[in-house]
Amino acid sequence: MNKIKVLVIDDEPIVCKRLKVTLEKMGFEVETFTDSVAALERLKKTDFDIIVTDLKMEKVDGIQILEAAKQKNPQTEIIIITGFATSEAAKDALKKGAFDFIAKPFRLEDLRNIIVQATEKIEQQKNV
Amino acid sequence: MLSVLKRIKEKFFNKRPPRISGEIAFRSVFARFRELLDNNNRALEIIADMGEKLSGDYIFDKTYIINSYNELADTVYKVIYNLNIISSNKYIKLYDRFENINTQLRALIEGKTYTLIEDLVIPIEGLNEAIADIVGNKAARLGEVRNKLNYLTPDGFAITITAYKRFLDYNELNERIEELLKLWDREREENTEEITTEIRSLFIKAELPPDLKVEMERAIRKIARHKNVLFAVRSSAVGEDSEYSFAGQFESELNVPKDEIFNAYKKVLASLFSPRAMTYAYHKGFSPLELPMAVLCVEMIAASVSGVIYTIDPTDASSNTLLINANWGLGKTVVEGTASLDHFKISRNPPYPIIEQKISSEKTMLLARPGGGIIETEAPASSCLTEEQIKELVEVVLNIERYFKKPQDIEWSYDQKGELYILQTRPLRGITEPTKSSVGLSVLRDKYRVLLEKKGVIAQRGVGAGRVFIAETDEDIANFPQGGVLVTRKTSPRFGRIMHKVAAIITDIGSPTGHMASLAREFRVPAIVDTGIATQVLKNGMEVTVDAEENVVYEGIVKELLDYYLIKEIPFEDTREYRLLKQILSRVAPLNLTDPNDPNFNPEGCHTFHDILRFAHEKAVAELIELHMDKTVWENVPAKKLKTKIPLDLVLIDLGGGLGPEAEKNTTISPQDITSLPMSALWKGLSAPGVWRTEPVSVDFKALMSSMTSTFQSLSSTPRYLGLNLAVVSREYLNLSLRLGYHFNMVDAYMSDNMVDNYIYFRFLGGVTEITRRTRRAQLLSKILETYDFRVDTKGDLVVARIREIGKKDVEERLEMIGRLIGFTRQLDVMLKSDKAIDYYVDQFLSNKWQQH
Repeated sequence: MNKIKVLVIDDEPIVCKRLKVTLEKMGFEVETFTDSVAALERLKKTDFDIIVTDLKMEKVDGIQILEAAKQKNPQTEIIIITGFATSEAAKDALKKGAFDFIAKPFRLEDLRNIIVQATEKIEQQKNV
Repeated sequence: MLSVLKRIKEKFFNKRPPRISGEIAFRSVFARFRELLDNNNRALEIIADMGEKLSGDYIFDKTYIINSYNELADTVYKVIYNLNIISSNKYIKLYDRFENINTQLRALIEGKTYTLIEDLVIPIEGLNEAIADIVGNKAARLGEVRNKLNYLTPDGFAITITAYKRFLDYNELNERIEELLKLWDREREENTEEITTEIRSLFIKAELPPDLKVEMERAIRKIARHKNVLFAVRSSAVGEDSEYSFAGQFESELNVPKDEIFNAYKKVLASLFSPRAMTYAYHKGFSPLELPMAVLCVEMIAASVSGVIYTIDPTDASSNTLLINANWGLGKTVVEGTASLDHFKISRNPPYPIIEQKISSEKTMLLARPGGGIIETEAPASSCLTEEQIKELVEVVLNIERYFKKPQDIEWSYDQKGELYILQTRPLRGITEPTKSSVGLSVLRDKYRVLLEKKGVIAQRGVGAGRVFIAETDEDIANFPQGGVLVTRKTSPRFGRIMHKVAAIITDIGSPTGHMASLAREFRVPAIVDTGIATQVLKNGMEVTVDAEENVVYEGIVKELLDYYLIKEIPFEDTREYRLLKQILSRVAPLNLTDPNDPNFNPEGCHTFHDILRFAHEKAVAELIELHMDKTVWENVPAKKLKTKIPLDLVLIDLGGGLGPEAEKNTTISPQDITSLPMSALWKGLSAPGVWRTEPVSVDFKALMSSMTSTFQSLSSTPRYLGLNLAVVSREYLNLSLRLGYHFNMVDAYMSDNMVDNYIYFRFLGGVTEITRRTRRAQLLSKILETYDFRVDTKGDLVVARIREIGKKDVEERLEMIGRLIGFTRQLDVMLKSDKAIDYYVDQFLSNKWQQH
């Protein structure tokens, strides 16, 4: 069976680096980008099962990533990382089809739980 | 909250004939007092929150650090501001203390400074990684090897970057070097040699600042007890060996007589401006002036054998071997590769067999001459290391590698007596990454069976692998094999002896604050405790890999994981974010001011934000009391000392309706005079039979009581103070601040018929007792409070519990419980000798059996 492919986008290198290890250990194939423009190019070429993206980034922000990803493949589940005081924007992202959002700083455990839920949804849809 | 305050004020002030000055003053003071409390609480919460992020369980970034710090600085400032309004600017010096800390931390956050430490010279006993930014990585690591791992190193001291900056300033070198750098043709490098010679001669001609000279002389005197001691003066640049590979760019001066150390120091500083270093810095995009230079000065070891070890073969990292180059005599021949040497290739797996060795038959060696200087002479043709020495060396260097979590490049010597000295250790450079690990970690679960997952708690992060050794008895411990994985039911103090042999630890029971966890942290051994079933699942001799980053134990040796952490991953502790947060916390979180009777309990004694908060809170309460003691202004405001048999010197201030009519006439009141609803409820619990009595009274408890009583006595000798335990009450409101022994307890509550207004806020902060018992006490408190539906936040030893919008009866019941809990908590220090005791006493308290203990 093919591995679930996860794309992580955050302009803070420390976030990408630490999420990559954690997600790989969960058995996923992981790509990370600190440059959201490059990430956008990448996701236009490849289907990802799950995208974890920061909301507030220069040039291309999380909402643009969300929209492009959903356009490329509506099955892709997007999890939005928000910073301080951006929860309104996070709710907006949910309306636009994001799977869930998580506010920085967060416990790795909390993100793992969201990812597991997203994975379950993806598996279910594959079976249908 | 504001409306509550408003009503309190209205109730109080409308009842009495207008006394303009007193009323306005009190109105303002009390409002400021409440604001101070709110900010104080918020600040402590932020500090605890920032501390929690260091655990590694969180993803945070620099934005988090900046936002948290900004809010913290803002709340601390407001605390100072409010205190000064309350006290008519008695404590304006606190603004200076605040600015002092704030300026330093802002510079740190903005990357304008490297350090918060002012020392010029620090002896090797004081060197550790926390101060790497001021003594350089080389000196910091050698300090860890000596002070934490307890291996022998030469005696010595570090000359800090603060000293370097003083040196530059004293000689006005910055300006002169900048002028010369302007003339440097960086692109074509035609005049590089000329410019560097010029700059370096500026260093050689420069004078040491007098205070630096004095401090260096003192440090030298301490080491050079006899005449002929020689020194090694080594560069220890900040950033060297870490982000930028400056390894070998800077000079070291060896065999330096003590009179020559000042000159050697200047030469090493000048090597920042060698052609090689300058060109390298230029290509990395910064000026050599931006690189701060610390220097490590250590005694030369009169070596009989010396060498260099790479703890992994850099050309073939997956071969699992380490390399030794060694020669008779001083290490210079090995480091510089000037003589024919002995080479060894050794397996990294116990018992560390020699895989390959080449013994040179034509060796020459350098020896230190007793009267100073070096002689070159012929060396024996035999191997310079015995098998025992090789085994000792390998065990030591693999421990050093595990401690620093990266392959190391280590210089060492055996002295004439056969004692092994570590001279220098740094991360090994130029490792060819093993191809295996490049496939990533996503295959782990396909290839390796998971034996344990999410069982227990991580006590020390990291990854380790080896054969399981289940150790229970003294005999087991004595037989523990080098590199084994220690599996045990429970901790024992005896494990301390074998920590240097252990690759990882897994226990059935235990806690992250327990003894085993402290041992694991001290030696940085990856550890998972409290798994419940480790000794049943894991069998003796089984090969396992312990991932104490994710809390997973795999069957077999998971090469991918070990390679990943050893070679690719930068440990979380080495990231900029971690180091920045840790440095900020060092000027924010520690509490130095605990005893108000200490002569240092003043603004000058405030070294951290926590000190400022503690000081301001103490003084604010005192100010409030003092205001009431001033009869000329406050003759109508009742400030009453409570007369009771309970050893609790409590002063009550009534805002209206909190005390009965009898209270008006007297300066002391009895409990019957309390008409405040929340205070009455709390008092019922506090004064319940048995709460303040222990029979038989333990010696510990007596000591605790007497410490408190003496605090009271010394305070009461100042007639203006009746004590610092204060309850501000009204008919429906209570704010109670208690300082009992060394912990602080605050209860803020509103209790009325209107459910929406009702709340209880409970705050408890442990004092100076050891962290283990403080944390146990916090756990116990939170378990009890949660039983009563409080929302409890526990951060270390800080417990904050809140409940709101509950009925009057529910408030009453809980305040009474808190009253009992306050009495009960007094004894916890003594009682909580183990983790097991927590549940026992929770149960005792909840079943009302507490008074029997």
